[in-house]
Amino acid sequence: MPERKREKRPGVTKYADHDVIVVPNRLKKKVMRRAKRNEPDPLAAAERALEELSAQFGSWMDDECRTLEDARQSVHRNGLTIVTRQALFRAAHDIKGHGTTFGYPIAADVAETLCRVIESALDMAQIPLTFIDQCVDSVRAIIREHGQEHAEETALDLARELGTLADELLGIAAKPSDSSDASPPLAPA
Amino acid sequence: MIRIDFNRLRFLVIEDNAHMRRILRTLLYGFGSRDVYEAEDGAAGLEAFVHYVPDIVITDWAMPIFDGMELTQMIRQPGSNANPYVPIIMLTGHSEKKRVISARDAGVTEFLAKPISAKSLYQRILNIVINPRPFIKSKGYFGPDRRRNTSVNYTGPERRKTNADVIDQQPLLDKVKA
Repeated sequence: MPERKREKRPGVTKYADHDVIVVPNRLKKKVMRRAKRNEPDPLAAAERALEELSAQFGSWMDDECRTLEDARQSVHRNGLTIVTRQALFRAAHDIKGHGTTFGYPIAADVAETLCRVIESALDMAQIPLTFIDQCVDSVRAIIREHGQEHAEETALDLARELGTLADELLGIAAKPSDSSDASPPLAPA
Repeated sequence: MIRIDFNRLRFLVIEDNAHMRRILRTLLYGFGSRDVYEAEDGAAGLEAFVHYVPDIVITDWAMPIFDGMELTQMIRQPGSNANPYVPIIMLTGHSEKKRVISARDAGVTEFLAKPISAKSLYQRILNIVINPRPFIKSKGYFGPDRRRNTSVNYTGPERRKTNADVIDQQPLLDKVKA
């Protein structure tokens, strides 16, 4: 296990119902410094490294797509159970989260639509399997046709239509609005 | 211009998706870090946290076994581990307001919604290093001060009681040294 030096303990100011603890700023002391002359920009270096990695993003999206397809097949075989629903949500959620970073923002939008329906529907039985199929097939098609002529326009149309369809579905089967969505207090305790 | 010596920072990345782990590792290496540990679920992440004592934890929210929120709650236990004050960056595809508030209330230091970029990650790390917030320990909360700013327009009641004894505790180590 890596050794760490014994450090200053935090300073504590006690109040009636809370303590304020000022932790010694070890990181600032340890890593902050003035830039040297002609020192390369770390942010630019990271962006370059990401750019170099981007050659692999297409095959990564194919992997994500296969996971989504497997989850869809499992739903078809076993119905929408807690397990299959979770797997489908997780696969779609990964594409929602990574799609834009990997250069597939419209696939991410469609995946977000599928996530929204899975997450918001009161009763999974009210979500037609055809809707799940449409979303999964659209994500696969968008990724497959990525870079082809007119593919982006078609993808945008698909994403819009599925978004509208999701709104209609949730209009029937939406959860009551969540009060925790309200604005946070300006001054939390 | 100010720079961070990333090669002196130890990171722990907890993320179940191998592709996203690779992206994060690439970005951190690009910044200049060489000390990056990885775990692929919350349980392995907690073990790695105890073992490697990282300077900064970057965790995904949705993960198997236990998720990033549960992991944060386990780390933010005063006195129970090596560093309950460790800065935690929560990485997630959930960007809804209620999610951000839940993460804040669990003791997350910074929230980073996907899609991530080099710039967004760099800024979170910079903020952690340059502007660390004090910690608040109350009956229902232990974590970084959730009041990032003082709002001059706030007219509601002050919910923290400040009229009691104020005891400025010197760090014990300093006392011993004196």
